[in-house]
Amino acid sequence: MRNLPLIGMHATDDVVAWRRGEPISAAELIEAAAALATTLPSRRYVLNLCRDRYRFIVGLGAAMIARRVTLLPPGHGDAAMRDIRRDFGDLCCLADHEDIPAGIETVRAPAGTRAPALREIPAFPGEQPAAIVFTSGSTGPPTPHVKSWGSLVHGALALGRHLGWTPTSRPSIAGTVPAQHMFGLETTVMLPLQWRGAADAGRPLLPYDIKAAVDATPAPRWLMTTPLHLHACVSDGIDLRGSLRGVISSTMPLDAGLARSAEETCGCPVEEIYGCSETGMIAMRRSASGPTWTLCEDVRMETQDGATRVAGGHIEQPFALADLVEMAGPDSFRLLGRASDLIKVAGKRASLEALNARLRKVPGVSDGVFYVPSLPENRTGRPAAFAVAPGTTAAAILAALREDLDPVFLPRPLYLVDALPRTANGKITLDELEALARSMSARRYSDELSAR
Amino acid sequence: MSQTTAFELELAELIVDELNLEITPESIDPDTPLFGGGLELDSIDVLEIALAVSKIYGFKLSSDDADNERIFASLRALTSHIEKHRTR
Repeated sequence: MRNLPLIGMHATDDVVAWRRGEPISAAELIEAAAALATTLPSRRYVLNLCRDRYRFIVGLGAAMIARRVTLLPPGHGDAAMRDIRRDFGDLCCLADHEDIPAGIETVRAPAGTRAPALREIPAFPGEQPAAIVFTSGSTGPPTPHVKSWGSLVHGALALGRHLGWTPTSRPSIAGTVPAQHMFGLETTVMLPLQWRGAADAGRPLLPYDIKAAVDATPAPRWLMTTPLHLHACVSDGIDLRGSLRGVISSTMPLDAGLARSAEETCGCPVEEIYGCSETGMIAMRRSASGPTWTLCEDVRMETQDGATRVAGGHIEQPFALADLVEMAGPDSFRLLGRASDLIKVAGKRASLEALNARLRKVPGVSDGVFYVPSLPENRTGRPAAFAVAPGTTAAAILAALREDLDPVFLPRPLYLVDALPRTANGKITLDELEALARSMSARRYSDELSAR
Repeated sequence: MSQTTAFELELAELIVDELNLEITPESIDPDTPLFGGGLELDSIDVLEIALAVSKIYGFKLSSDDADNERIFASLRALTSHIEKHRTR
């Protein structure tokens, strides 16, 4: 099998990245990756925590050259790091900031001396393991998923073709998502690398920073982002018209109303990717135009006995989805809802039942339940929780949960109550919980008022 | 703990309220990092705070050439940034 290049379609003097308006060439990237490859400690895994997207890419390239596997951490919580250190002990860390886990040999990026100039772009066997992404650990330790170099490359090539790109498209790509998240890896790292594009090295979050980052790169420009960032851009009244050729959103559902407003704000189509860490992207849709998804190139979907599996294309292992699906055509479908009790925050999944079980195990807690407050107040999808805890305090409960949960799943707020509103058969309904939350909030404010 | 100014407390109340945090505004040390090991806020929280700030204080938060981490480093850093730029 032919080796697949680190950067496809590029000439060595092409720009592969932009940092605050300064171009970085393919030759510089190759040289930096080769230099870093020679200085990596002899460890099997490289935990790449670089926040600067270009440095992340250099780290990924160096790891590939040195035949190391890049670990993409599921979160920055202590619990996640503890589990990774236990399961992937033979690791070193690559970081460009100070917020690094204790006790792991760390290489500072940028690092390495100058390497002899490379005459050609390095290429790797498709089956070489490139990265390990993790799914959330709420149902136990984070589960690792190995991505081969071939699957990452094929996924990026298919996505670009779906977007109608050609080798002369030369897209500039900015992202509000980290390179360590599967969606960020696919769209802000692999896509520019494989399509003769250039990645913005930053990670703008606020609307004006997004506009500044996008405008500092040459057209055609693409933005890889989330519904939360799109909502912020729309509500802030920023005008991105003329700046962007396309936008791709993922990590949480983009509703049609926000999609239409975002298309006005951005002046271009807003596409949405449906996917997960296990498979990467599965399907796409233009969310403003309707609910139907179109499967990515060569990806197949089969529904049997109520369970839906995806396979083919860049997906290495057939995977059973947690969503209920209705086929709308041979390569199109609609989502009917969650098949399980999974919730998703900031692109991370957790099972409500597992969260409940963890909460009830906290010393001093006799009963407890997590729930996801509904829109419009809860735009982020973060869970809240009720606990019956005669023997402890809210702070102690949160401290106990923090040991095992990614911080995005810590309840906001955590209400302490005398009893949960259980029905005669022990069930709790969302309506009851929301009514209880409203009465608790009202009480909190009247307490505050009377205290003033 | 260093002295909290009235405006820092106002902003602390906004943060606790917007983000449904499980702490009292008075308990936020103005020098404690808002992110990571401190209050454990994340990038989604940055967006929520930025939207609320632009609504209440009449200017758009943007990190210009500095990075978000500096503006959002602590309650004190955020307060002083807002004091410099607020229009109401």
